[in-house]
Amino acid sequence: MNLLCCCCCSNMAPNQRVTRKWELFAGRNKFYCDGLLMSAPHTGVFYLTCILITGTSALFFAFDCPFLATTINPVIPIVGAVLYFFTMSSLLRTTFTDPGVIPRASNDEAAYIEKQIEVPNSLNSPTYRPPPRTKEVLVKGQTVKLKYCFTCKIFRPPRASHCSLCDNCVDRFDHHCPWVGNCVGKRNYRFFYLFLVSLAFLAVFIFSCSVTHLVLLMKTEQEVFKVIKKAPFTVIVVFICFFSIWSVIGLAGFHTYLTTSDQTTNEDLKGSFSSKGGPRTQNPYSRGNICLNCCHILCGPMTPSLIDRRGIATDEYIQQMHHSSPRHALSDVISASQMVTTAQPMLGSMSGIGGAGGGVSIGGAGAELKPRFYDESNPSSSTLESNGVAAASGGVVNGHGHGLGNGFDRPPSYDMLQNGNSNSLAQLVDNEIPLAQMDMPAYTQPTATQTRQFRHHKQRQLSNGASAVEDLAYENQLAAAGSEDELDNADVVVVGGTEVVAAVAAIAASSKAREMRNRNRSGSYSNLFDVDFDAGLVSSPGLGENHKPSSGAALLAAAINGEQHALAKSVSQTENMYSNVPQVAVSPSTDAALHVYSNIIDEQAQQQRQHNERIQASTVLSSTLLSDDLDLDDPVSASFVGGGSGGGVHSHGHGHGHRKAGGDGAEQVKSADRLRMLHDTTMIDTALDLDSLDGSSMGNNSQSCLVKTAKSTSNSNGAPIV
Amino acid sequence: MSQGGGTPSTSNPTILHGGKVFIQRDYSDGTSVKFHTRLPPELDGMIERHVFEATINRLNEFYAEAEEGSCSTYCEGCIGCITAYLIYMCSETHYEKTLRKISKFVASQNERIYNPKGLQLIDPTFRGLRVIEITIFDRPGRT
Repeated sequence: MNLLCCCCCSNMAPNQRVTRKWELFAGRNKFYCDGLLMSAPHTGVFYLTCILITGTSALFFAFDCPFLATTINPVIPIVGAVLYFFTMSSLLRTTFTDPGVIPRASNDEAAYIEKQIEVPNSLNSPTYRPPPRTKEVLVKGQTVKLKYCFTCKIFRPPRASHCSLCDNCVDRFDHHCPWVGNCVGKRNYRFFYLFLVSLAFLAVFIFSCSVTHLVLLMKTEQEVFKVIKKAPFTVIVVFICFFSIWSVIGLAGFHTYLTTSDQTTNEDLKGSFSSKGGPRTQNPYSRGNICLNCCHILCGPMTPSLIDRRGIATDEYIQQMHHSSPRHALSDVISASQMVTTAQPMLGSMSGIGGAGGGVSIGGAGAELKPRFYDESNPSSSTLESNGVAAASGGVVNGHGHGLGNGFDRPPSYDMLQNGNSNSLAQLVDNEIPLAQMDMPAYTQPTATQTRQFRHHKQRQLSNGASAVEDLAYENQLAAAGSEDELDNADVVVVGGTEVVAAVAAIAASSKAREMRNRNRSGSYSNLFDVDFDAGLVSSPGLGENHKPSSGAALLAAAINGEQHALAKSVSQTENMYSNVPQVAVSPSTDAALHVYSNIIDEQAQQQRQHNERIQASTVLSSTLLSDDLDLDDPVSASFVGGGSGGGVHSHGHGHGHRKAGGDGAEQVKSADRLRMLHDTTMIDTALDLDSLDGSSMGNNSQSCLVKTAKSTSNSNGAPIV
Repeated sequence: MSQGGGTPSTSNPTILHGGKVFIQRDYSDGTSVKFHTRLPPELDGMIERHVFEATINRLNEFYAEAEEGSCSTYCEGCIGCITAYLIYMCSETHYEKTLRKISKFVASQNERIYNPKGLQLIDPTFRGLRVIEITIFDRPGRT
């Protein structure tokens, strides 16, 4: 019936071109004969199989059969031909039959399922976690877990599995067989089994016949070499058959066992129903009887193909089956998390938000950063802050970022959501934007642990002195695309687990960073790189583009202290890098151009203010980082004297701490904001003591390094990592 | 097509015009095709429970008949195997015949029962035997 239809259809008028559903099929299968036949995408090994079988059989028929037909019995070639025919038809049937592909869910169906499983999650929760993607059902009294397939947007039926090669969910998935060039599933398992059995018989038959031929020749010739010369191809046939028999017979026996126990290769490999699992893990699908199982699997009713390959693709069908999001395992999670995380380029990955979303969104986030940044650069820093949530979602996984088209189409409502929620991760992310802009393997808002690691790392590096800076430089270079601000990169430390994240973030953001950088070239970044601490601390802009080594130190110091108003712009910039949000958020309206980079300008003013305040502040320096050579009388100068040296860094920290010790209301506010954001993003309940947002308690040991307030210097310097 | 379905968590979810409800598969008896007979909350009030359950039960019976391993089906399988399945070029399998019966049944149910109530059952065959899709046509949604 199918073949006849094919012939008829081919006679259609040439101008009546209709689109059939197979042309729009979402999987990777190949289709032949206008959708009549389908196979896996890569069929190279299948051709090899065909050639092997056909070639060997041809040699057998050409060189052995004449001899054997005359010597023994003419039925031998007939049997051989039947076996060969049976084997090839089974093979072709296996290859070109739909294995039982489960069609993907339509948009409506997918949305319906999403709604049902997403009920417990709230959009506004900053700690967005992807909804559970498994469903437990009772199959004949046994609990079976149904998994949600992100690609096909369905809960897979029991025994179904997703074939990554063909990119389909296949019902009763056995395995993907490259020799056959197709998946083996419910609909073509019987053909596959028959192919194995018939091939085993064929191989045994040919082998035995060829050996018989050689043995008979040996009787006449007596010498092995003469026999080989007389029938070389028979020898070849013998060899081929000998080596293939073991695997074919082994496979046939294995699948006989599977058939009698009604298991799939998948289940057998996983040990789903093995006796080791206990009496509870019996196969609920088995009919209990070997014969019944065999009959059902091999002779039972065959479901027709569910994917309707040759159906006409109507407009409604196209509209229903069109999936906008990229096919990715996490695409659902990401698209869902997008709601919470504005597609801000996410430099950091908030563990709370979930790494799942992060992976994909980083690119999207990154892509979005640019337009968003530009859009909101002026309006207010708060806008940027609120976009920080992106950081949370951004797992800094670069790969799929750009594939996530949703990122660009963030509905304004989500933006409002972000903007309005000062506690959102967005704020953290916003602060991170500048880092990305700076083309640094940015501080990607890692978890508190990561932050701690980072700070420890930095600390250690600082203590190591110049080598630390070099290490930083190396790490940064690894992560960041080559940028003009190499010093920045050098300063950014990618620690441990954050390295990859930072790298990805850097990559994702690098282009944007460059643009942003170019945009705000004036003095903002210069501060970062060049820390002329002395000058910067006291005076301000133009911290300097000359002090490369100290920039790292300054950055580190700033990072460690997490203080917003770093002594130097670079320091403050560093702080921005590592504890971004507060700075941006707190940046008062002093700077009209309130974008990330404007922090620098603000901070310059702030620094001066703080400098005055600092003098009054008592020095509360943490024990860990502070070195003994801190000159508390002149914190500014003391801190930056060291320059690039480790000691200098320490002193920076100290000086930094000094300056921050005083802390003012603005700082406290910033710290509070920072802490809240940190709390929201990192889910660190322990650290934050929002009630007492004073310098002494802020950012102390309890708090992650993300937020360093002026007050925190005392403790944070020493133990920045919570 | 507007997105259908209300929130299952509420007792009387709001249904938008042209909304859709999906009846999922029931795997309690294995992998055979069977659908849940529970009336979804979105349709509560639009159709009587017993009528709905009767329809679903009848559908389940049809599918059980299609998938049953009777002698005739086994013979059909064996003959197909012997003839290298060339026989299926000429005739339909038992399963396909039963699916045709199901299509007719769904069409008749739509005509007699569901369309007058503003509902439309979609044959599961068109949804890959995964769900029974029920489309709610333009009717004032329940709130």
